[in-house]
Amino acid sequence: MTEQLRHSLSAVIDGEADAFELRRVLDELERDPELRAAWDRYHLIGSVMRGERTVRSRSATQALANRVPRAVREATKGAGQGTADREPASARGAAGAFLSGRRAWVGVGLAAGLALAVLVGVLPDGVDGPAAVPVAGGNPDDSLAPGFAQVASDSRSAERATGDPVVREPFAIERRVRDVNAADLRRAQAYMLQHAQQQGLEHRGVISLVKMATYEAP
Amino acid sequence: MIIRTAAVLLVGICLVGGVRADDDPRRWLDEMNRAFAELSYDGIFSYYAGQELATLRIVHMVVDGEQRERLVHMNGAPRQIIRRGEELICMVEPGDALLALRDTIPAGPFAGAFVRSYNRLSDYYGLSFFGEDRVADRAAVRLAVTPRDAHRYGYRLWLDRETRLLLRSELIDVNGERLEIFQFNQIRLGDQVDPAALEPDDRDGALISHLTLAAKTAENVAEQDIRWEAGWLPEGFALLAADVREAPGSKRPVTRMMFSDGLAAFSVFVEDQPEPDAGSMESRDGATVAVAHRLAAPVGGASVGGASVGDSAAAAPLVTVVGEIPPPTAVEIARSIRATGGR
Repeated sequence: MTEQLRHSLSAVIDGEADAFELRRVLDELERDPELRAAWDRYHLIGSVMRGERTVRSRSATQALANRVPRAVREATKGAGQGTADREPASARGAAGAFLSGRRAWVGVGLAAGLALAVLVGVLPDGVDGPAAVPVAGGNPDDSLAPGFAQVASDSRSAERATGDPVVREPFAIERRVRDVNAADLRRAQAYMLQHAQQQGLEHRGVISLVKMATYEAP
Repeated sequence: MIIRTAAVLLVGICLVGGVRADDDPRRWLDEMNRAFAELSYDGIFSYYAGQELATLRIVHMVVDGEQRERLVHMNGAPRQIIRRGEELICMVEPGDALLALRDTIPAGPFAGAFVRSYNRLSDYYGLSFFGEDRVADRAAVRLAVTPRDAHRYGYRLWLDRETRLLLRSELIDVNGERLEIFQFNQIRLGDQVDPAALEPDDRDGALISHLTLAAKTAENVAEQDIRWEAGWLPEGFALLAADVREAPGSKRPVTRMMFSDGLAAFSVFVEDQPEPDAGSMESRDGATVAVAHRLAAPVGGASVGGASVGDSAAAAPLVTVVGEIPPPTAVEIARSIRATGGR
């Protein structure tokens, strides 16, 4: 990773990157594992400094990092085309509607913000990220609880609708970290341990009890 | 000479990397499960999940027909989990983070499993050998367990060629990413295992807090007495166990149901009357995901799927799905939970 790229990465994370820098960083993120690792580190540092708590694993971050460039490309493409009709189906929805008819730099700015939001798992109130874009051919589902957004409940339907292969997102929901209180986390962990206990008691091997032996408070 | 050459060739054809060409991977899986339960072993293994790498020691023996096991966390918080038959005891130091969850982990009995047959495991997973390797200085046969849909994870298993004991496993997501890795670094088997190694190591008196965990009992709740059901399950998953117990940190009842397809498993916890501010969330630890979801408030004694908002939130049941399944699948399951008869 070059020094220039490191500066660009820093600029993107600080929200100061221009469109060219953002595109370059996102393209490189797809290719460069070292850059992705740096991206993870910077965000972890940022989260800690902001006092945020995230339980998202590295694999989750990796998966999200993989999908951000695509989401941003689609968002910025939609902005450049100017009309919603020409946008790819998967780019429609809240972000697509916002972008249509607006200048590309607006789209880039929003996309950069969304990229950050998706990667740290925090979406500001009232803003749906790429993860909230409804799947073409499906019905936007407003029955999800606050803090949840559906990406693709059925990847096959998305594939049929767009003609493009759609990878089923490993994380179809986003969690508003700041909305999760300590009691919710404790409850989830208690249930995880109960699940591990039951598995251990069913003699499903040592791995389930390992979860308990290696438990760490968040 | 020709006959001898032909015989050698025949043996070569029948053996694919130490595995007979007519070997059934399902048989190897069965033997792996038996090996875990029946063999004596004492080993050090690494366990990688998410961002964490842990080192543990496992000692396992069958003593007087009862499984005895000691699991020791080698780095970080000193912990030992002792299994004596159906009883589990966790020994920790004062101040251990697990103690903060003491009141949330039920010490009562866990339900025994319903008897299920998973003869159709191969309907949901492709099973195949993929060569040989060496793990912990032992010859291993590699076995791939590939899910046939996106609702379960895949596994790569390294089984000891001689005993079938699992020496290494990788849990793989739909993108081929390794979510968890378990691997023995060194292991002793059979007569090499010293029964004294089963005893808790409390020489310095540091491990003084005993956390008695749940024991299993046959007094599980009958399936028909469970008031909640899943409106949707991935194909092949069936109810394995169910009971009603107290919710973590409160005396409120929670219904617990455990489902399995014979390999993967998840649990569903339903609180009829959760804390009013209990919210929807997602958490993840390696391959284990926990998805909490508030259902709509009960209407006419029945509940329907969907989120609740506003004033009705206080009465909305809370569903938490925990298991080694992809998060989108956990979400779909959570949203499908409904009161029995609430179709």
